[in-house]
Amino acid sequence: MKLTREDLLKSNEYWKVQLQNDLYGIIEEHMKKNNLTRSNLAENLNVTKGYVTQILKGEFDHKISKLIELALACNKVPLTYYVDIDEFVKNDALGKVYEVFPITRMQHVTYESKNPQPQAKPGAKISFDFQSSLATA
Amino acid sequence: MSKFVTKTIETVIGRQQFKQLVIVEDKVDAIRLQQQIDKNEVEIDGVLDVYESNLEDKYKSSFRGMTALMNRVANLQSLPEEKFRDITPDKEIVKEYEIKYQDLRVYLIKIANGKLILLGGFKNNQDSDLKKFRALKRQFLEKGGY
Repeated sequence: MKLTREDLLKSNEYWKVQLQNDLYGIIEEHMKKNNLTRSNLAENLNVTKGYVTQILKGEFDHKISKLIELALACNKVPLTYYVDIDEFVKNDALGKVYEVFPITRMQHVTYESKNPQPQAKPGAKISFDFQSSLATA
Repeated sequence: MSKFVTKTIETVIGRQQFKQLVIVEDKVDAIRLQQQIDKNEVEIDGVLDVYESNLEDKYKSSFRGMTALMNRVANLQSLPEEKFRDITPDKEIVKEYEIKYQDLRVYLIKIANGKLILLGGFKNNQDSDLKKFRALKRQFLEKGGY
């Protein structure tokens, strides 16, 4: 069976390659920006030079805590989000890609009814017209 | 003697085009075949399709990893030299590249707007694969792509 685009996007290998090489990318950029050698970086991260070499080969496959530590050491946050896989595949076929961008956080939101109802008095009989509520829904 | 046409690799989508070489018999009308391939009127295997179908089951996972790397190359995303490297000899005009994932290798050249895969190979056969790749490249360029 020939590999399809959908099979690829649903494979473990595809996402592993993305994560490993994105991490490689931020570390490489950090090293260049700060003029760091592999030895400097190993010292800063308190890991061995061999460990740094492995990451720089795009072969990081360690604990999540280490991934976070490495990202933070490069002044990055490891922003992770999850998307429904079928929706992702569908959008990919439509030529759509996913990007992360900041939006303004919503604050103190109050929801007001468009048709405020008068408050019932204590002890009053409350009736509800189910059919009418469906018709206006 | 053979003729050459090219075919888009459908599992690789990015900012750059990613194609594979299709080797056909000399008697074939290559220009017409290329038009039919471009219009999706014919199903024909390219070198990557043949490479994939000849892979033993133990390499299927590596092939998915390799295809993921091709997607990164096509999208101009970061990759270490251990995974994607320029192997162009001195004085060679058309750029040559190697992509590697575990025991698998893919050899490609630069074309207008992207890359063209000429050969798939293996870690333990690199010298022989490189010779074959460069011979294919020479023939392809001599024939102007057709």
